[in-house]
This record gives sequence, C-alpha cells and structure tokens, in this order.
Amino acid sequence: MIDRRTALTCVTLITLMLVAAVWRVIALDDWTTFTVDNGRALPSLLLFFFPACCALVVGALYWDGVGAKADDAKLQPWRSWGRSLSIGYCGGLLLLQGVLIVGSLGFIMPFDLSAISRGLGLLLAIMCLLAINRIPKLPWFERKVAPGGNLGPIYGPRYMRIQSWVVVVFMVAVMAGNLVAPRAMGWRAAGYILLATVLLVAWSLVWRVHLGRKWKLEQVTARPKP
Amino acid sequence: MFKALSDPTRRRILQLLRQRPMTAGQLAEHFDCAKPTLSAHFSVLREADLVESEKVGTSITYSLKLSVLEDALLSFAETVGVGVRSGERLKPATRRVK
Repeated sequence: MIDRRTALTCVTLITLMLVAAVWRVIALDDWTTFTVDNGRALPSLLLFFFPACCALVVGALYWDGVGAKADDAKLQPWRSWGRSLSIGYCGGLLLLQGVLIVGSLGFIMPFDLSAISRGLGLLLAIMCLLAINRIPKLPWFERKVAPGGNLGPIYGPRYMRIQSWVVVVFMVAVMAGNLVAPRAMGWRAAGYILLATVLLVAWSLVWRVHLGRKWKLEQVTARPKP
Repeated sequence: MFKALSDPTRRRILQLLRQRPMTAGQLAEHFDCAKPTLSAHFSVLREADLVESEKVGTSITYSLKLSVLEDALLSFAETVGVGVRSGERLKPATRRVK
C-alpha cells in the first residue's frame, strides 16, 4: 500500500526511466539491439523492461490500498512499508538501467560495469526479500474487493504469514539459482521463473478463496440459532 | 529477540498464537505457572516485538507478530530444543482451547 505522494514520486522515476530508454533507442543505428560494454548484443526492449517492472510493482502496491477497510492507525505501517519498498525498487532499477545505458555508450571505464550491475541486482533482491520478510509483522486488514471475501482475524494473518514464507523461499531459490546457474543459460531461466510465478499467484488465489469459504462457514455455524 | 525465543515457555506461547489470537486467560489455561510469571513472559515478547496486544473490555488479546526470519528462528529453536533441560517434559503446545 502506498499513498498518493509516494505514487507520484514513483511515477516520476518511471518517467525518467522511459525517457532514458527512448533516448537510448533513438540514438541507436539498429533500433532492435544495443551492445553493452563486454561486446554482448542485447534486445532494445530490455531497456523498457525496467520501467514496466516498476509500473507493475507500484501499480500493485497502489491498488492494494484502494479498497482497504481499516482505520488509519492500521494502515500507517503499511504505508511506510510501501514507501520504502516502492521508492527503493524504482530507484534501484533506475540505477541498473543507467548502468546498462552508460555501458552501451562505449566509454572506456576504469571499472567493470557488469560487476556493478550484478551487485545492484543482488542488492535489489535482498531489499525485496527484507521487505517481504516484514509483511507478517504488519497488521492484517480486509479489502472491499478480494477473491474469497473476508478472511477474518484468524485466517487473514495466517494467509499473510504463510504466503510471505512461500514468497521468501521462492525468492531465495531464484537468487541461488541465478548465482549458481551457468552464464550460458542466459534468458532461458526467465521462462521458468515466469512459469513458477504464475503458478505461485494461482495457488495463492485458490488458497485465499478456500480460506474465505472456511471463515464464512465458521461464521455461519457460530451464529446462534433462533 | 534471541532472549525472547530462548525460553521454552515463551516459544509455547508463540506456537499457541500461531493457531489464532488468544486472550491472556486462554493462554494461561495451557500453563501451570503463576499469572505474574506469564505476564512477565508476555512483556518480554511484547518488548521483542514478537506479539501484539490489544485490550478488549477487561481482557487483553494477544496476536502473533513474527517476521519470516523470526518464524524460522522459532521453528529452529523449537527443533533444537534451546533452553530445554534434558528430561524435562513439556505439555503439547497444540492443545485446543475449550
């Protein structure tokens, strides 16, 4: 969940990324590919991948707070959590994109840019991991529109806790996989990660609906009979 | 946080709270120790930011506030048996509230 001011800051960062990507693509002889410092040719669309990722994350965080059914005291920890995550994420990806663009300009650099970009990527992943690690500490609140409806004070926090567990394990696996996987594997790993993410989201939705039904049933059975 | 997780009674409180939020009275039913001792355990857990308390009427309801890492440490301490003397038997933490 993020407030309007954080959303505007993120939109500014995303706009900067888009402007940088468009400028770099326009300056290329061949618009489809660009060459980075180690001579490797990468698709130009990759430059638009960073703002797209930011827009997805910021949009999801903003949308999460739209239908919140809770008082301000409960939402405040979520807002500060969302602020640090969204601005850190957008800022990190902007830096990463900047490193990629600088590397493609052909300047002679005294340092290895690919090592810097790998380090930045790792830092970003650790930042996201720490943010997800903190989610179960935040107060549970119901949403006006959510699959499965209300989860109540028992199943809501449980859902949030186990979901955070699963996402942390998934992220650690992805990070470990990326560090261990041979470089020759390249972008093929992205397909598997995407498939695993889709499965994770589907499982999360199904489980939320199941818990929502369970909570509704418990409410019905607990109601005194006339 | 490590101090809070090193005590078996406090770990049992956290395990009970994993099932659902409970009042101090409901939690006390699972332990043989005196209420002031339990209150001291609750305050240690509160100070470590592992539980959250909410006063509803005359009773205080406790709910879990564990991060993923703290949850993993709790499970690890429980598996290894940190702070449990050899031969000491504990009541199962999964007992349901009547």
